[in-house]
Amino acid sequence: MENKNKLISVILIILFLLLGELVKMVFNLPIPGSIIGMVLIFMVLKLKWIRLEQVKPTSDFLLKYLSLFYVPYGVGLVTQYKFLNGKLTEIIIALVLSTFLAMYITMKLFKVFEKNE
Amino acid sequence: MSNYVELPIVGIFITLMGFYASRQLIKKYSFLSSGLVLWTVLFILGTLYVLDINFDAYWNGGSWVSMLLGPSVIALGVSLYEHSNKLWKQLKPFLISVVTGGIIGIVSVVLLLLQFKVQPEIIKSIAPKSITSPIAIEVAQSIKGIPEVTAGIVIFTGILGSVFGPVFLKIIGNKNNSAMGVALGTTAHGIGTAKAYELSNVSGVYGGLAMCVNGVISAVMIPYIVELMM
Repeated sequence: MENKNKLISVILIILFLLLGELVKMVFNLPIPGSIIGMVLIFMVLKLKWIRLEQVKPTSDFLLKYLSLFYVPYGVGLVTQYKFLNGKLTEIIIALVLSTFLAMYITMKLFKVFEKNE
Repeated sequence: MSNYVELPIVGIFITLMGFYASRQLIKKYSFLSSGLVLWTVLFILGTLYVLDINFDAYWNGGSWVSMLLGPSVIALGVSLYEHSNKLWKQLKPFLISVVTGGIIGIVSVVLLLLQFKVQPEIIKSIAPKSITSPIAIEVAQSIKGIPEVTAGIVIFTGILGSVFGPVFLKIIGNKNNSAMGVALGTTAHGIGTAKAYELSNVSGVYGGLAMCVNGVISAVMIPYIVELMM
């Protein structure tokens, strides 16, 4: 039983990625297919057309190693230096200030409105 | 020999070894734990340098590993369903904080870069910095930025937010797991979300949803914000 669900979960995850890409192409949407597929699988689970156990083995595996899948893009970052030459320090300062300002405000607003609920 | 290192399996192996080595490092020295992606990247860069492998050869295998990002986004949808009861109860604080935080992230970075007199083309490439990379790249193309720069900047922002974000939020007194996840997902997209999952399941779920909502809303807003400001 356990193994059967594993294979089905791989197939379902890939199926929804395919569906997302299909919807994107057919309607010529600017949103990535994977995001559309994510919304679709959420809706189908909500409607109980598929059960959580049928997808959970693969989705848990993927989320456990999510960090790993970003690594090659991180390695690619070093090949982008030439574009930023000259203003690199300024750009890093802007990124740091902006990222932490947004992070602080997001966290603060969530807590303030959470309490008011 | 150069043909050998171009085999995809070489890039895959180096990536997995780097990830394994970094996990071992973190197990031993827990204060390094926020930099999992960063240490892995540094390990791989070191290996490529020592073995004299160029990036294109590495990418033959690296792209195999990153191909799993697509299915992972689908997996986020499953995880959101699993925890959605919690989210509906907090929909208002969630939407207000994600939308406001997302817009402030865009406006502030554009303002600062204008102040520093950075070329408009580069500013347009940096504006989508907090959006998950597949969406960010499409946004950059639509506002005539440079997609390669956007890809790099998005990863940099993600690493920045995931390495220093949890420490920063703790120092300013945050103990709320869901607020941590929302802040990491909104500002550091998938890398922040991956970090949030390492911290706790609740943080990860909130991070994933924040990343998705911020990605879609920012993608719609950025073309207008950039036009207004530049």
